[in-house]
Amino acid sequence: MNSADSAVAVWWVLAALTTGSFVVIEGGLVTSIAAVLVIVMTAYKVRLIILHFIEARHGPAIWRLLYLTWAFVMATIIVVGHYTAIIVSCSSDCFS
Amino acid sequence: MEEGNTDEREGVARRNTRPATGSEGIWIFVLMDMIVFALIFLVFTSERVRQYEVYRESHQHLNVVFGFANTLILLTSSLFVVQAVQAARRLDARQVSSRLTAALLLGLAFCADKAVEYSVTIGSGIGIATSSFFTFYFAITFIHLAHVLAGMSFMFFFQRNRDRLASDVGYLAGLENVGVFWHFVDLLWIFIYSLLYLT
Repeated sequence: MNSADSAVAVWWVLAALTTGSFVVIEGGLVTSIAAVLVIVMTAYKVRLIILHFIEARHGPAIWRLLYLTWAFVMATIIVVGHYTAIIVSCSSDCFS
Repeated sequence: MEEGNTDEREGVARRNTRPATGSEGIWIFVLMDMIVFALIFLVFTSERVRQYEVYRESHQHLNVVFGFANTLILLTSSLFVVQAVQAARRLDARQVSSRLTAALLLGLAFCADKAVEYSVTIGSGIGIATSSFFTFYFAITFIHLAHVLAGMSFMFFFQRNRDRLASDVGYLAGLENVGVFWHFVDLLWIFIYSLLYLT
């Protein structure tokens, strides 16, 4: 597969994951698991863009590491923030 | 002799840190912008922890369809920019032009979607001061929109100057920089979409 075909293949995966996360939320699956599922799909999409569109996979490891670390930190902020907010908001009811 | 070794060592160092596409400068700039957005996300998250009920209620006023459409628009635009850079490496100015035009049109579609979303949101009586969720919503999406407009301006410049591709050695490097920036704009939107619309 040449680089042009590879970019189109990556785009198909990105579009499928985007549609998948939309279906999860719009389908009413608003559960704790749904949030994790959406963030995992988001993180994977971001990883694909960094490696294939920004071409970090061909460059020096340091740039790849810095950009992927940022993606990991962003995904972690969203997930940890989401669950911390839920736990804190229900702490009086849930843990009393 | 020693000078030759020094040059060789510097050359190796340059090769070891030089990105595969674009200049080191744009990678550093993007990294700095990434850190700024990480801090904004952190502040948003800490506020959400403090006012979870307000954030959950406010979040339900957003229409996920706008965010979903804009995600697909930017992803497709990113693909066209990848193809424009690939065409530039083959010195195919015609394809560079057509791909950048397609990416630009999708950028305009993103702006149009955002304008409709803002007008629907504001039309329903929601403003920047309605709650801290909406303060963040308008601020984050507006800063992102400014990035989109900047990226579109750069793409417009390179689309207009496509004839320089064969003669100007800086054209390809410049276009690669625009590509890195535009993909970053796409990355940011994917995270913003998850933060504001999905979770």
